[in-house]
Amino acid sequence: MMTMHQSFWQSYGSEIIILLVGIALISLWAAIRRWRDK
Amino acid sequence: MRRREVPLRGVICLVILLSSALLAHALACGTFIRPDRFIAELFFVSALTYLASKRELEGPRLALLVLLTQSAVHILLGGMSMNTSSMLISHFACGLVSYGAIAYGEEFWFGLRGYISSLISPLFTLPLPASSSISITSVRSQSLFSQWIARRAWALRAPPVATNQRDLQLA
Repeated sequence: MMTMHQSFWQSYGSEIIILLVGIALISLWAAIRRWRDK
Repeated sequence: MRRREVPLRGVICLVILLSSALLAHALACGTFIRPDRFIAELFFVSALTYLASKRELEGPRLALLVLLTQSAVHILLGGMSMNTSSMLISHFACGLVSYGAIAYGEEFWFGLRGYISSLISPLFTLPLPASSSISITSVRSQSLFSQWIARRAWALRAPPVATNQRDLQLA
């Protein structure tokens, strides 16, 4: 029997990871632009 | 003028973002669980667009807005159903298209307008005959003529003279 925690990650894990990866890439892009514009 | 431009630009961004996200979800055969969640989605994306459009929408700021809109449509409207690779590709492709449409849309439409006006404008201009020439002497002489008229006696005359007693009393 799956716990609630396991069920949550099985349902939403991929979306959360994609969203976090997207945010991380955009943050990296913003940081590179800021560093380049200095 | 400026006050009218900014909300219009925001509304156009909102329409592009929402329609691209809905199209992406529909293209990947995603289901929309409850239509009434569309209002919540609209409020969420409107608030995001309003906050993001305080400064120029471009680069990472616009990319983050696109990412959050695509995610919000998938989570709120779609209920995270159909978590397939086709859904991911569809949202990614439509996100890229919406980014391009917002970032380069104005340049595209202004360029298109310039191109069309350059095509149309020769139809509405009359070519001058080769023998005709425009000289500034006519303009100059007209100017001298108007100066001459202005200096004549009737141009420098006094106001009408009061002729009867009533006018004198009023004066």
